[in-house]
Amino acid sequence: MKRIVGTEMKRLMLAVTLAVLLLLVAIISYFLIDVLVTSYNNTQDNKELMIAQSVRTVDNMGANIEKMTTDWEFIELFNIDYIQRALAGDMKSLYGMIVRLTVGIQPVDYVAVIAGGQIVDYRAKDGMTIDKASMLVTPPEDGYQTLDRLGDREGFFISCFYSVPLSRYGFEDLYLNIVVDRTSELQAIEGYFQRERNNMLTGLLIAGGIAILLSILVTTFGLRFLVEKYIVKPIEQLNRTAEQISQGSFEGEVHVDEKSAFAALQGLLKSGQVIMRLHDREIAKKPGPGSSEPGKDVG
Amino acid sequence: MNVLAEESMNVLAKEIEKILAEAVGDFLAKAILNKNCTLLGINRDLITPDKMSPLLQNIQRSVTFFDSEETAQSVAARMLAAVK
Repeated sequence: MKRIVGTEMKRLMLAVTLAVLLLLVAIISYFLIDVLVTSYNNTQDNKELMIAQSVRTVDNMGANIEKMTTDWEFIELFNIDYIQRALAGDMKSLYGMIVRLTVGIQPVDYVAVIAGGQIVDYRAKDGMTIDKASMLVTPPEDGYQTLDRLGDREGFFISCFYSVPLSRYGFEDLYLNIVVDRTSELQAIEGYFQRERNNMLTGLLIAGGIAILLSILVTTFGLRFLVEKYIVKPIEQLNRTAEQISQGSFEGEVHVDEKSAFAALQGLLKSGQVIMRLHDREIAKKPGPGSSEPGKDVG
Repeated sequence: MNVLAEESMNVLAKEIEKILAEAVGDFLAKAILNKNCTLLGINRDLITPDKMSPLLQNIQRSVTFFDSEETAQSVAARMLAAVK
């Protein structure tokens, strides 16, 4: 018998497949966006953490420098000539000592002594050229700022200001501007989260691809099997029964399952079968004497 | 009924079924034609005008059973016209 539900089944499978694919794409997109956003947030959080740690480290450096240049316990370890010159009002010697001490024994890339709103002395790591006019001379609002360039070098730098209150010793108060290079640390953080993100994206895309393939297989074969079993076959059975009843070749009784969604159709076929039986019995009888010959009563 | 069987059905059978379908519907038209052909031992695909008289008589009785005497006579008249 010719299958009359083929089109409906194709449409159903197409609709279910598209719905499942849409759902999968939505889920995969959600996780893709989540991975990207989480990775970005993690990078930013770690970058801020690294900056905060660097600022703390630089503050400690500033405190050490201040202690070395103001505490007699340390001052007496230095060349007494410098001390005497500073006490005599030659502040350049003090500033020079501060910048040399800072760059010499601390892991910093640039230090400047700022007095009266001007850079009075500065020093950078060997090989680095700094245009002091381009450097800040007043502390930023947060006490630090990040730079993407220091002199002729590009990267990620943290510039901190440390206050040295020398007025209590009869000198002008100073600021130390200390800049540390954190390019490699930032690259490490970004590299780590980029690798993590790429690994997660790769895994997600592979899993998503497999899920899409499986969903197509399940909706194509699984759904086809289930629809054939629970919808197509019962309908085909009804069609077959109807054909057989109309051809007079149906034997047995039409079974009506009250729980079936096709109960009404089954009932209709059963009624048809009963009526056809009554008809068959009526026709099988010999025509009565009053019955008319075809055509005789007509025209 | 498969397509091949439908195509092989002769013109007369098709015409009878068509006239019947207009009176009692497709399902009953097929059932009436099939049953009466079977009862009379006629192959429905090989209906010829000389076999029409007993077939028409039976069809008229069937239509009377399912509808009314008037409809049966009308159907029989149309079938006779078709045979001529």
